[in-house]
Amino acid sequence: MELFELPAWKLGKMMESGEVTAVEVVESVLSRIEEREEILHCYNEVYGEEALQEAEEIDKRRKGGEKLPPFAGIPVAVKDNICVKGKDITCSSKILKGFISPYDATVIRKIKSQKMIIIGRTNMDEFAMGSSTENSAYGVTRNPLDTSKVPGGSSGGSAAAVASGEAIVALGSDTGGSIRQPAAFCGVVGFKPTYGLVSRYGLIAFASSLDQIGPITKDVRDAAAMLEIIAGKDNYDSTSLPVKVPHYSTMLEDDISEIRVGIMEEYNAEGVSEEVIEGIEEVIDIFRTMRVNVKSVSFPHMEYALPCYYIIAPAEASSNLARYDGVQYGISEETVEDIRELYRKVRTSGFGKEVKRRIMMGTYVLSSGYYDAFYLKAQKVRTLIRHDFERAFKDVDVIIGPTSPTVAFGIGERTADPISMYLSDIFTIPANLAGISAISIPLFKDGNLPVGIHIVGKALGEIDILKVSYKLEQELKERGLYHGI
Amino acid sequence: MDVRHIAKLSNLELTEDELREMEEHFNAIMEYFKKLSSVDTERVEPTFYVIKHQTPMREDRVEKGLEREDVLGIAPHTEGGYIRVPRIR
Amino acid sequence: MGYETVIGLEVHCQLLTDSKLFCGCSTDYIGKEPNTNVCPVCLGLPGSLPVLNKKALEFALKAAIALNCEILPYSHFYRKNYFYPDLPKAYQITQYDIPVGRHGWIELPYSHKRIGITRIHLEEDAGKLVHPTKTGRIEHATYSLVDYNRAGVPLIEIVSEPDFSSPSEAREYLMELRSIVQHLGISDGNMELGSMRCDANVSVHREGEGLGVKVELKNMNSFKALERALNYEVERQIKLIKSGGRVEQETRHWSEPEKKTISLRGKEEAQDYRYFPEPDLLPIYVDEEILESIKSDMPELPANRRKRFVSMGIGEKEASIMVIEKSIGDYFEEAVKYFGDAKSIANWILGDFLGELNRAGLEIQDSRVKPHQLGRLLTLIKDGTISGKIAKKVFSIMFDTGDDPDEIVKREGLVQIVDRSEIEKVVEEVLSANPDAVESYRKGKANIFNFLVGQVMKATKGKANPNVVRDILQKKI
Repeated sequence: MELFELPAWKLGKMMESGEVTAVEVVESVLSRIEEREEILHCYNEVYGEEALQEAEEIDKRRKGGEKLPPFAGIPVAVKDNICVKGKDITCSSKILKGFISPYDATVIRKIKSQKMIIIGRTNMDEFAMGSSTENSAYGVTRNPLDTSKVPGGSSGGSAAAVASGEAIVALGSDTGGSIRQPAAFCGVVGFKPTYGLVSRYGLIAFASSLDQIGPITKDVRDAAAMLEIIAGKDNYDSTSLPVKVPHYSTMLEDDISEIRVGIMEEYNAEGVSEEVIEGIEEVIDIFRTMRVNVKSVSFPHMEYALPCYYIIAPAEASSNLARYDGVQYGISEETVEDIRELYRKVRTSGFGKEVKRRIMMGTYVLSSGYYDAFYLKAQKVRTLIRHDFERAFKDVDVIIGPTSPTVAFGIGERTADPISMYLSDIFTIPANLAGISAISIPLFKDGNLPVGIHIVGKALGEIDILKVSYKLEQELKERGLYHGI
Repeated sequence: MDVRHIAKLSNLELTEDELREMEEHFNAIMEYFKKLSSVDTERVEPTFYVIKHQTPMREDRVEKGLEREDVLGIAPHTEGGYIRVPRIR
Repeated sequence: MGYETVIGLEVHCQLLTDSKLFCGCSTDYIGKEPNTNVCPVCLGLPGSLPVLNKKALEFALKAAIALNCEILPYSHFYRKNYFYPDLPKAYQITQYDIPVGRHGWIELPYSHKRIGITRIHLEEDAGKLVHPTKTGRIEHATYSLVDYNRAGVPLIEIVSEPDFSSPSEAREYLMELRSIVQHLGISDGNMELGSMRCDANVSVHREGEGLGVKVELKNMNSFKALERALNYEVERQIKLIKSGGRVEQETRHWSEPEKKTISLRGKEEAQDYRYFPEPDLLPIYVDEEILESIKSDMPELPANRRKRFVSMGIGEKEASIMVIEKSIGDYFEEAVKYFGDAKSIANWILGDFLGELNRAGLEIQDSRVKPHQLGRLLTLIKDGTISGKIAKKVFSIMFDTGDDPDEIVKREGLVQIVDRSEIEKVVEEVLSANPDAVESYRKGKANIFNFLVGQVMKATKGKANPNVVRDILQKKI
């Protein structure tokens, strides 16, 4: 087995025992990048040289007897919307071309303090708007499991990098499913934490009330460990929750018999593919054989989540993206008559089609005379969606359903019809609207593309989710429904 | 709805074709949004914040900011320590 | 038929916090090199997030309490979206439907008219634009320069009801408002430096008719400018209506050099600010506990201070002037500690002292003359060491040098001559040198007496005690 195939927790132990060096791990990942990147295009930039230097430094310190954090030397891929000091950051948009962040995001400070090695910045849908990583100014990313398919999005680069071994772990961001859906499509684990658990400071905003940073990993144990590293109260983010972060990774093997498991009644709704339905039913069967009582729960306002999201997220985005105007940073124009022309030219040439579409939608729903009918209405419906969850969580602790209605679809298949693209996030969006936690773990069957199993928990219900998904992961392995990379 | 007006508010320039396409998309999505109007929200408060506690506050202390080179270094046009912009009308 | 004027004011005050509203950058931006007082937050760099300055909220609440506002237990921030190069994020974080305070009032000190306060809210300042042309005016510049040092400085906006019926009332209000924020210690209220800014809404209508069309006035950088601009605008609108024209709803700039208001018509696009709740900040809850702790910390306000000064024996008008600038009132109170006659202290401050300060272009707190020195000077007059006239001379020296009055009197030999025999000698000399004058006086020309007093004073270089001189002269003639 190659090193790049292993999860971080295993590599960490091997480095600590001296079985392998950080340089060997980084070299393994870099060689994999060398081999696969041309086809896959997971990255907008790879920091090969620096990564090796850092690895050498880590090996030197370890040899010197220094006790390093467990993930020291683990190569981590970072989505190209999380600020790393001194590095370019583009959000896969032309408008930010040449912009170098003068500061580190809080999560970057945290992974740096763990001595993890940032291996590169990953491709994404422009400003995280999309579900296929096709809306990138720097080219599409391909699904490592089937290169004719999309990797999902918007954190498609991060998911594809982890799935292909071009990274050991990765950071993504999730506004309506952007971590979980690509994780499902690429057959890896993706975690969207409770809103406020992980600091957004340094995450380039798409929709501020929905965005969360989270890990994309090869297994649940890595997800728990990464979450432990990046979570926690941050004084630089007003929406950061004042909570102590539990030691998730030490609780994974705890008994789950006390945890009440629910199944989302709407999992076999119209538009959900046969293989996805079968995957969920397989999971129901697993729990039944584990003698876990599985209860059906319903979400009466489920069908409103998508329109609700496509009002709120673009509204916030239209404001968040107004700052890209060619004045302070990013691309500019040389010959313009006046400031208005600068704004128009820079924004028109700098933003891609989908971004423009969402800016305009957002501008429209906030504009004079439409605010009440659209924006306010959507925020009220959001309350009803939250209430659906509150009701469900009286009876159950986690809710299982599909991550996406289908497995990975073909490149170019949905680009012409934005609404069909939007529909691929229909199951992930409600968790963002309610601000609660959720994971996607992959189920592989008969050599087909994986199905993402979506497990939603309460606000700060990370422990329950992780325990249940860890157990499920073990069972999938038992049944040969687990792939690994 | 006036796509042109929205484009202007957004500081985006659209060609006639793009305007038409955008209008089609808008019409389709608005049709989809109409679903919401059937939901009874008579006594429902909006969820502007999923977090219920008060906004945290900083003590009034001065912290060091960025070096000027970092600010000007990323700006497309500068002059004498300032950021330069075209004529404002 | 007469015309009636309706004016409302929107006043912005920079708050005297050490750091900005949402980040740790200093608020001390004046005179700093451009773009050196900034961080990712106030520059609105991608990924940065705001965190509220606790003191700024406390200051806003103090203002709301002082202006008799209803304090809302829950409020939150909004984004006001518009593109402008001095606005780094292309939105301003401000408040909208739920401000910190609303429905307050303020009583004007002279007219005793009560002016309604519509609302008071907290928001962030923008950066500064420089227009590199001879005139410094935006419309003459071929390009402009941006300095973000000021971006993010905390402001309170205080919106009045349209309760003013004359420009002078508006000015009176603004001066009182400045005095209030100064007394609260939350803003220095300096219009010239822009720490206090004022926009006005002006309309006129024929008596007995409905309200006229509102014009927004901007760019008044002093109290005088405000009054001038309002007077000009009222006149302009009346003239326009009289000549059969119509006032247009628009924004006009006051041009101080040209002494007129200029239309910005056509230069402003129709604004649609698309306000929505700021998702990067959570709501503010003001509970009784916070409110009580702020209330218990409220300093004396101008209205009360005026009353107190009057009770110390000062005229109402003098008391008002001394409260217009908090620093003058503070100086006065300090000086009174050293010399108990408040009225004399007030007369000196409002007379010679303010005169010298105006000439020197200084604020009272920057003067070399300290309150205890002024008190001492007045003591020297009272105990007869120097005359009132000499005291003026001594004060002038004190103002220039900052020396103690005792030292100046000694150094310059200005001690008053009270010794009768010494003065008698001089009187005799004057009488013998002016036989004609003595003759005329004796023939009944009473006013010659003052001439003779003057001659004695002149001969003693003003040092003789005038009362003693009069007494002796009367007896000698």
